[in-house]
Amino acid sequence: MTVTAGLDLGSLSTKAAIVEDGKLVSFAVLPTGRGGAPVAERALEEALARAGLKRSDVDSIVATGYGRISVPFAHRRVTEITCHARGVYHLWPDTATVIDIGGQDSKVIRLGPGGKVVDFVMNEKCSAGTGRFLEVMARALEVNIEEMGELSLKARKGAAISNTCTVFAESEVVSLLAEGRPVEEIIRGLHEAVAERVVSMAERVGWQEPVAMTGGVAKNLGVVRSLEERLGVSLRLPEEPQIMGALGAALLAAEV
Amino acid sequence: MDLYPKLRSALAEPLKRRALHSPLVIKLVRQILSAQKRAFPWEASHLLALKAIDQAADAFLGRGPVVWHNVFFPTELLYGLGVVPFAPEAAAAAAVGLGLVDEAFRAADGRWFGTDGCSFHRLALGCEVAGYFPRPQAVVCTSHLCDIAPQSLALTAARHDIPFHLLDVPQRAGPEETRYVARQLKEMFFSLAEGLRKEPDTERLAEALRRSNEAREGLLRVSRLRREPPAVIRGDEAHGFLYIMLTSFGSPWAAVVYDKWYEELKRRREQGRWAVPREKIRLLWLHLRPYYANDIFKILEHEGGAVVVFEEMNHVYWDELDPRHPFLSLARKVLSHHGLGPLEGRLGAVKGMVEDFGVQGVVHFAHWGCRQSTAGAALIQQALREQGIAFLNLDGDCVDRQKYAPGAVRTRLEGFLELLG
Ligand code: SF4
Repeated sequence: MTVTAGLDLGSLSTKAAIVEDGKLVSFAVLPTGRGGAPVAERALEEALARAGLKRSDVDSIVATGYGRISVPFAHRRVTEITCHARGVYHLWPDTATVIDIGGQDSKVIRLGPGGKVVDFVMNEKCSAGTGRFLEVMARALEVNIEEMGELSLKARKGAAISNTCTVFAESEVVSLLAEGRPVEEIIRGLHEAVAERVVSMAERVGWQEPVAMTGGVAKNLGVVRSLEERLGVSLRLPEEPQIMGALGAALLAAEV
Repeated sequence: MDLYPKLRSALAEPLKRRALHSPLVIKLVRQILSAQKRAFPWEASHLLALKAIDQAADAFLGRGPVVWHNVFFPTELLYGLGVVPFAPEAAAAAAVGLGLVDEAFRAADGRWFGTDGCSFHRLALGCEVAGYFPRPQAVVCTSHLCDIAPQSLALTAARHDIPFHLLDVPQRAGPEETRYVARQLKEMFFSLAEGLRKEPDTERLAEALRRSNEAREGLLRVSRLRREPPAVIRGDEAHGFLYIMLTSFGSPWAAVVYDKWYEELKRRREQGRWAVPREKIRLLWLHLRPYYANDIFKILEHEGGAVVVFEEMNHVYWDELDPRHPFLSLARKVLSHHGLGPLEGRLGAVKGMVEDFGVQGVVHFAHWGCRQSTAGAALIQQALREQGIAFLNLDGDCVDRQKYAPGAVRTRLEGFLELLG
C-alpha cells in the first residue's frame, strides 16, 4: 500500500488530499488565514483522520499552491500548474484544456499527450478574473459569495461592467446599485467580466476541447455558464473542483 | 554583486546632484569601482564598468558637448563627431541600482509622465528633472522601434531649449529608404558639428565605423563561442554586456571589452568552468531584464539549471559597415534591425537564434509599456510552438519594482521549468 499526500496552499483556502494506491481516499479544506506550515499541518491531519490513517503511514508529500515554499515537511514542491493538470488527467485523461480559477490566480493550462503540460498562461499581477475579485464584489453587494452563482442565474441579462480592475469595478458596482439595477443583473455582469478575461487567456494558449474547470470558482455556476456560453462548450466539472491541485500533488508524490 | 550598495553608501552625500559634476566625486567613484575587481564575475565586466564610468565622467564634467541619444541611434555618428554620447535609457538602468527610482518617479509624475508609459523613459525624465543626469547640448533620436523615445527625448530637448534631431526611419528597407535615412544622417552630422562647434571630420567618422566593425567582429566571436554547450556564462552575467550594444558602437573601447570577454569565455571553456554545475535546459531571452534585485535568474539558472544562453538584444543584425560610405552604411545598419517592419523579421531572427544556440525554451520579458516588444508576442509564441519550442511571456517591468510580484513570478518560472523538464 502506498499512501501519499498533496497539500495545496492557496491564498484563501488550504487543501489536503490523501491518495492510497492511486485512489483519492480523503481530503480536507481549511481557510488559509495566516497560512503557512501550521494550517497545512492541520489540513493534512484532518484529511488523514478522515481516512483513518496516521502521519507515519504517509510515504511522500508534495506541496503546491502559492504557499508551497512554506511547508518544510513536504518532500517536493511542484507548481499548481502541473498539479491541476495532473489532477484533471487522473479524472479525464483526454482533457485538452484546464481552466483553473482560484483565489488570487486564474490560469489556463493546455495538456498534451499523457497529461503533460504543453503551455499555460496566468492572469497578470492584478486580481481581475480571480476569486478575490468576486469576493470583493460580493462584499460591495452585501451578498454571500456562495450565493452569487444561484443569484446570477436568475438574471435575464447582465449589467455591463466595463472595468475588470477590482478597485474600479467596485465603484462601478456601487454606482449600478445606486442606479437601482437589480443585484442579480450586476452579479451576472461580474461573472461575464470574469469569463471574458479568462476566455482571452484561453485564446492565448490555443485552447481545445474537452475543457475542464478547477478551483473554488468552479463551484459558482454563474461563472461556469458564462464561460460555457463564450467558449461554446460544456465544461467538465469535478465533484470537488477546489481540491484538484492537492489531488494532483498527491498523485505526483506517488510518482517520485 | 554587492557593488551597488557599496557605491550607494560611499556616495550617500555626494550623490546629491551637483556633486555628480564634481571631479573629486567622479574620481572617488572610479577608485571604488577600480578597487572592486573581485565584485565582478568577469574581468571584462569590470573593464566595461570602468569604461562606462569614464564616459559618464566625460558627460558630467562637460569634457565635450554632451549629446543625448536613444538606444537605437547609430552611435558611430556621435563617436565620429567627437562628442560625448549619453543614453538616458541605459543610465536609467544604472539609476535603479543607485536607488534613485522613487525620487525620479515623483519628479516625472509631476511632469505629466503617466505610469502607463515605459518606465525607462519615465525614470530617465525624472532623473533629468531631479538633476541627476548631465545637461545635454543636443538630443538625437530615431523614430524606429521605440515609439516613446521621440516624445520623451523631445521633451528633454524642449526643457533645455536645445536642438532636437529626429532620424525618421521608414518601416521597410530598400534602396530609396536607405538613401532617405543616409541623407538625414549626413545632415545631422554636419548640423550637429556646426551647432556644437566640432570639426565635421569625416576621417574621424570613418575611424568610428572601423572601430564599430571591430566591435561587431568581437561580439560575433563571443556569440559563436556561447553557442557551444554547456554554457560558460550565465545569462544573469551576460546581460550586463548589453550596455555596449546600446551605447558604445563606434567607441575606442567596445572591441577591447568584447575581446577580453572572448578570451575569458575561451579560457573558462578550456578549464571546464561551466555556468551552472549541471546544465539541464538552454533558454533564449527576448527583450530586456529587470534591473532591481529579483529572483528570476536565481530560479532559472541556480535552482532550475536552465541557463539563459543568449539574449536577443546581443544579436548582431547588421552587416559590416563600409567606412568609405559612412552615411549609407549606417542607414543600412539602422534599416536592417530585425524588429523593424513586419513581424516576420523578428520571427526569422528569433528562430535563427533558437537554432544557433540550441535552446529548448524562450522567455520574453514583457516590459510594461513597451509596445514594440510585447505586441508581437502572440505570433512569436505561435511560431515557436510549431517548432516545439516552449515560450514564456513574463509580464513585468524592468525598472519599477512595484510591478514585481515575487510569488507570481516564481510560479510562472517554475511552471515553465516543469513544462520543460
Ligand atoms: S523598453 Fe521599449 S518602450 Fe522602453 S525604451 Fe526600450 S524600446 Fe522604448
